[in-house]
Amino acid sequence: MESVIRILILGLIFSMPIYAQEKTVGRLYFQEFMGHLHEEPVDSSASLTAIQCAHSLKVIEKKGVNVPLGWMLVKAGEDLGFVRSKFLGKSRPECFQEKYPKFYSKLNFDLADLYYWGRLNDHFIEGESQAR
Amino acid sequence: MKWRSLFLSILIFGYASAQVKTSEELKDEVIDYSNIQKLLKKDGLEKNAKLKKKIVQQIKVEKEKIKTEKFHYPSKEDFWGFASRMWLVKNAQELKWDVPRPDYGIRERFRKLLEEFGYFNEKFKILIVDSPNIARLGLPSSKNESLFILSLPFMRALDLTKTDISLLLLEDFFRLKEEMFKNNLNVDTSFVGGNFAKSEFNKVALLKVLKAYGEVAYKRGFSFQQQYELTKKMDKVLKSKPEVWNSYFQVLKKIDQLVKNNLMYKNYLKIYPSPELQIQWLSPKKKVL
Repeated sequence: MESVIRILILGLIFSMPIYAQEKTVGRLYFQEFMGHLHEEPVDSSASLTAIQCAHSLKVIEKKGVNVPLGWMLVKAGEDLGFVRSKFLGKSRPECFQEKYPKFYSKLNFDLADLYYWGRLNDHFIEGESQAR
Repeated sequence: MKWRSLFLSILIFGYASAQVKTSEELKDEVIDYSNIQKLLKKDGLEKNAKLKKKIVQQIKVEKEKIKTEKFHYPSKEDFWGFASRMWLVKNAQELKWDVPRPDYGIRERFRKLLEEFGYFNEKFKILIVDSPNIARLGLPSSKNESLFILSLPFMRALDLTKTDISLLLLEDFFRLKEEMFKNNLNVDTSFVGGNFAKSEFNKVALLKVLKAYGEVAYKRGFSFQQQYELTKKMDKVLKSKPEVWNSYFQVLKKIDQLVKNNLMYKNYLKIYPSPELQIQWLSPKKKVL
């Protein structure tokens, strides 16, 4: 009995760092019409999954993963990947899909359309002029 | 016998009197609705009933409104950005924009150029395409947002600097402000901002708009008149900064040479007529002695 308890305690101690490796630090909403969860924090990196407007994403801190400025490590379902932080927000956005639900559903976008729609945001060079 | 007759007479009298009483009672018992109405009014029950009826009616109207709203076509403000993006998505393979893109520092230079000439709070999105089929193009979007396409082979063929590229973007920016692209589509867009709750969804109209995008981008382009107005606008705006005006003039010369010597860009003249004329319009008039 004693040996079983010892093994259990040892098991717990060894498994602790695994739990500590990944921590949910918040939850944010995807703000764009469509987008992608990237394998790497690079715009051209492969897509793990496509994400739609208002998708709720867990913000993750993971030991040993260096997240570059302007990116966030997030979890969409079981997929862990990177999204540009400018596409994420604390509040639920007013999405085109929800504003015009019947119009959107009538368009019958296929998977290729949705993939490219998500990729558009990765490729746009965005800017805004400011009053000085 | 006496007792029987007495009993009978009492019974008859009693019955008769009972009959009279009953009819009187009935008279009395007739419901006086006006009184009840008064009473109800006094209690506020009728008012409550009316209010409830009104609320139910309002809920019905609101429900119907919500149901109808679901069938809205996008508003003008939302439609053009959506249509432009949809056109880009549907033409992704042809335009070849899903490729790693260079930055060339265009974002910063173009932002500064807009600010230099007093165009503030203007959002822009630039898409670099790896196709020579479209050299550059401004696509309509929401009120303070412009979408631009820039061809990488075109930029390379001309060896453009970031200032040169920004000046071409400024040209396209003015085209969008004047709604030249939208005006040249020449299609019915009356469905925009409408509703299809009580009619068929007009997908054909939307597809016609997208088809017209392609026609303007690849075939029809802009008219001489539009190009003249635009060149004059550029002339007027850039004159306050001679070095920038000169850069613009040099870019037009470069494009003129390219379209005359490189067959790959012969289509450019159909879309933007014509760099040679633009140079003439900008050049100071020779005095005839």
